[in-house]
Amino acid sequence: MKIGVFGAGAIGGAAGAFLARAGHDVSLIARGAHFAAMRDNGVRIVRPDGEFIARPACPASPAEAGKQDVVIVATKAQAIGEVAELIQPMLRDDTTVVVAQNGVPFWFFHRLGGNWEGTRLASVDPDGSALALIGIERIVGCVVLGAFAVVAPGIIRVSPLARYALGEPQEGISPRLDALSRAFSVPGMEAPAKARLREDIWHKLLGNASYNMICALTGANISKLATDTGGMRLAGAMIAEIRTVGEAIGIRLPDEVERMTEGQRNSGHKTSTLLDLEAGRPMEIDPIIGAVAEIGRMVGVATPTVDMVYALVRMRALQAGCYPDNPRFVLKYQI
Amino acid sequence: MKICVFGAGALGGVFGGHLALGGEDVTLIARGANRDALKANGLKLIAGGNERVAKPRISDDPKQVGTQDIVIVATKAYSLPSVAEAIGPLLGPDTGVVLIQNGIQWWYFHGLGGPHEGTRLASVDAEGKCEALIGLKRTIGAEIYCPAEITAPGTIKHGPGPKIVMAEATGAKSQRIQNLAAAFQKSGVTAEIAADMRAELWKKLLALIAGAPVAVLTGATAQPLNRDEGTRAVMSRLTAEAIEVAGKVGVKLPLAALDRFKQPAEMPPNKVSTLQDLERGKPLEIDAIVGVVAEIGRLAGVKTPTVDAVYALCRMLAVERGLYPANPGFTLGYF
Repeated sequence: MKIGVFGAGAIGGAAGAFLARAGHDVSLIARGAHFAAMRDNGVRIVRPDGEFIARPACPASPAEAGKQDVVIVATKAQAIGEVAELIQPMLRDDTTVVVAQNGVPFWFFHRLGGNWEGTRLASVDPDGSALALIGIERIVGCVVLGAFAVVAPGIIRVSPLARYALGEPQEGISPRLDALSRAFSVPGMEAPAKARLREDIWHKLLGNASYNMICALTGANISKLATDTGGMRLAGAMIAEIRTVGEAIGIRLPDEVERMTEGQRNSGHKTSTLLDLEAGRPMEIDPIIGAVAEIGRMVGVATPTVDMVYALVRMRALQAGCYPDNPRFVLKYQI
Repeated sequence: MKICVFGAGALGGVFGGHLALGGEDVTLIARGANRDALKANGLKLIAGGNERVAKPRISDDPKQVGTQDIVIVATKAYSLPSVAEAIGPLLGPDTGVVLIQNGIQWWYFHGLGGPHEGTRLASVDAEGKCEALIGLKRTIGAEIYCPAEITAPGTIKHGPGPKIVMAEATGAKSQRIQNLAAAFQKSGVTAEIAADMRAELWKKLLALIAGAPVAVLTGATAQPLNRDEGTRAVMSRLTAEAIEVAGKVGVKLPLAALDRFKQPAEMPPNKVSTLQDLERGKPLEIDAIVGVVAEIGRLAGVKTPTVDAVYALCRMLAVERGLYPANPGFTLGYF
């Protein structure tokens, strides 16, 4: 299978390496020193049980990569509008675009049916260009679980768990989804096909919209948060609001699903939002926590705790130069 | 009057310096380079281009200073319990101890009457040292108003019109407080004897609880915080919760205090002192300003979700930076 990875950072680079090692024809598109190292020396994957080097192609541009069977988009979620334009040279009509991003994806209210069908999220795809340029028929959603980090240019540390769960916007297991799941299920990487991926998206969002933002504001890692009563109370209040918003759009999650695992609690893991802040990179705020507040407004569920943390983390990011000065998404607060 | 200023930082220096220039018998307790500079050159006060040099006595040992008519404690709130031990040698039975600490002071529920009479505030006097060692009869509650900073050891730059608002914690119109007010007036410090000192503490707390924790968490000056709708919403909620708590413990504050958050306001680009403390690596005054409101809220049966959340975030941030002053006796209970 010819697979292009756009945004081959930690998550995209790891997927590209696993897929290339298994024999797929993989091209990575990325930037900077990390890309140069992957191009010159291959991608080194470091896991607790050993390491390997994969040598996917590293073309200079999407045009050079050419048309693909599958394009994995693994950039930050707020970049999706731009990315949708940049990947055009890689797309045929029947190319599958796997959107592997955090937060609420831009396609979330498409092919869902019900009251909110066709809703565009200003916090994720403010002008609708991502959806228009990629097209709903090409999209397969993806929820990534595991811990991934670029520890040095070209070197990616991956946890034993590296799961890329896949799902169709219209739900159910289509032949295309089944084939993709089989093709992506390679040694080192799980790729289950999910009939209702929105539940996985919302499940991951519970933690990302709460823990990540609290850690970004305080500088604490996940283990320190897990042992702080006040911090966990705040996270719990946020999670309850995010759950209620989810229920209002038909997403039911089992009780206690948000409990941190023992492994998470002990990991000492720094969340990606905090790492981005510390490195001065753009932070994923609007597509994660901003989207929850936006959907809350839409369905009439009050999210006072989420709003408060959103306001604080957004200002923190603005001060640190990690948030666009003139964002196109403006949340209406209820003062 | 024999007056000793304990904690010769910027504010202690301004008020002690004025009293010395006004002819009072003033001793400053100072340590290290500051003590050496003060001993060698006196205390230089710079205001509006004018420079005056005060010559108070300087000592680093309260035992050698002996009993005073008045002790002004000009340290941060979190230091007060240990200062209560250190000032022992300065105190006679009739000595007045002027407390200028921000936030709600230890004696708040002593002599107030009502259901909470005698309650000890764990957030400010966890082990009851202030109560036991200073005691209600010696305590003079105060708030001071004067921007000031130490520009070099022994040199303080300050704003115009230093002002102190004070009252006996017992509410008595004592001779000593009238004498002290007269001494301040004679020294160029505006001194008011408050009719309701508890209301004065809350008034200053309202200004601090809006600006300080939000500034610490976001790193922003007053300018962006008062322009941005989100941070104004957070500040408004913090203020509203503090007003509600104050109302339950004897102080009615005007809800008009919330009006300023309704519209963007142009503010000077000032950094609140708590943010300056954070940036300089000094411990943060969060228990006496934020934690205390949550503590009194619990006592009075008022829910303070925003204060609780912001307190948890500030505390985690301070712990992470090593700037949470040890206050092991205070743990906020959660509902």
